[in-house]
Amino acid sequence: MALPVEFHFTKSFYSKHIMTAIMDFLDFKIGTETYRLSVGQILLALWITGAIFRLLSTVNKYIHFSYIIGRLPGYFKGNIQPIMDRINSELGRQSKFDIRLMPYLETPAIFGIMHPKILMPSTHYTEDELYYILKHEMLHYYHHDMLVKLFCEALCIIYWWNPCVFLLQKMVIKIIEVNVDNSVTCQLDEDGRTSYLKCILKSMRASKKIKADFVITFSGSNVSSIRQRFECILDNYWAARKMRGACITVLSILLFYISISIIFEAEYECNIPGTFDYPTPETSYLIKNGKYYDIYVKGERVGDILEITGPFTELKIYNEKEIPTNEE
Amino acid sequence: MKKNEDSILSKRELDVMNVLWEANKPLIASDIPKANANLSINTVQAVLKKLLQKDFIKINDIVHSGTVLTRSYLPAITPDEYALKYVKSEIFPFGKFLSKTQLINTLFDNTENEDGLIEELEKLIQKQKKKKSK
Repeated sequence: MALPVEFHFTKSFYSKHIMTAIMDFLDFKIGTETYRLSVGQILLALWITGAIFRLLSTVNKYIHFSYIIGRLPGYFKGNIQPIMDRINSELGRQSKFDIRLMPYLETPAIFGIMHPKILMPSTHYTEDELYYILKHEMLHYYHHDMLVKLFCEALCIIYWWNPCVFLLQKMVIKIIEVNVDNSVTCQLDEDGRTSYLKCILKSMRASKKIKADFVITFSGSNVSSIRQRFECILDNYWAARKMRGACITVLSILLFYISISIIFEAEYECNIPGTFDYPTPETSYLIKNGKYYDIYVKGERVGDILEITGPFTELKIYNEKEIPTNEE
Repeated sequence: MKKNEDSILSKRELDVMNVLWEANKPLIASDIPKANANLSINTVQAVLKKLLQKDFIKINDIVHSGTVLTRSYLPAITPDEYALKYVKSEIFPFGKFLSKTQLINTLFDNTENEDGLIEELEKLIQKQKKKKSK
């Protein structure tokens, strides 16, 4: 869906019934004598209008949200800077993060691509809990998860009519959370993982009134995915399944390749007067006739040409005396 | 009624307040640009005057700064108090950030009781602890 283009390796599968029916429906003209539009053109106009509207709405909300977030006060509870320095040192990174206080926020969250801001609710957290939360949010930034979310949002804007993109968006958010959980907990012992999970539960229990778009949150916005995250962390799921993860990656790449290698096209019978099937060496040949060359397709003369160019260069050329029989 | 009840801070005012909140001690005007290089002393002095009028800061004491006497300031409002006021006035109005998609997602996601889920997850952790202690 993100790459609506044809590649040189793309193979076409021709459909004489289903695709032709769809194409006929899309070509059906509606309107007056003087001004007619096809169904396809109307649908395309609706698609583009919807996408533009959604884009403008999203950009407007993003700008407004960014402005509002920029005016939140700083977060001064706990020893934030040494914790962030420690995390950066562990990860070998140096990025600076702006921490802001946002009461009633459902759960700690991160916002922004170039100048990331971590949003913290009013909940009081211990130093260990702050470590887990900040590491989780900082890893979202270092994994470029906001870019991934932005890409999903772009797909939702373009394909706003397709419910599958919204399902895809939810699944991607789930995967992002599991990935970061794995990064945070892979080097923790069992007690550490338990503490991490208790921190998530504490965030869930806290006052929750604001669910914001454009952010990636600590405890996740999808209630049903939290159980899955817990099970993955408790069982240290992915550590023991690296081969499975690799296989899934390879399978995903293969499926993607297959999806861009095949297209379905309508095939119509070529019975329009003055036209003929595309000449191939198997079905066509040329017969020299003075300065011209007569074109024969499936044994029937369909026209003549002066100069052999394009698809005719591949055809066999006969003299008048060498006209092939049907067996040939 | 305090004047700051109806005031939202501008960006510069917020920068100055953030320095005061972070310091957690009285500061004079010249201390503030040292903490935030984006603020010039002229800006700070103008902003401090406004913040004093709006009752966001209060004068703590008159202190010596070199050979001159100057005022030191403390915040009159905590970050939590200000953030609560700000969120209620700027974010809470319904529909500002709760998009229709989010609302639909919320309706369909919350088919189970979230409190029930929290209890279930707590039991899961307890179960794992017991498994480990065996």
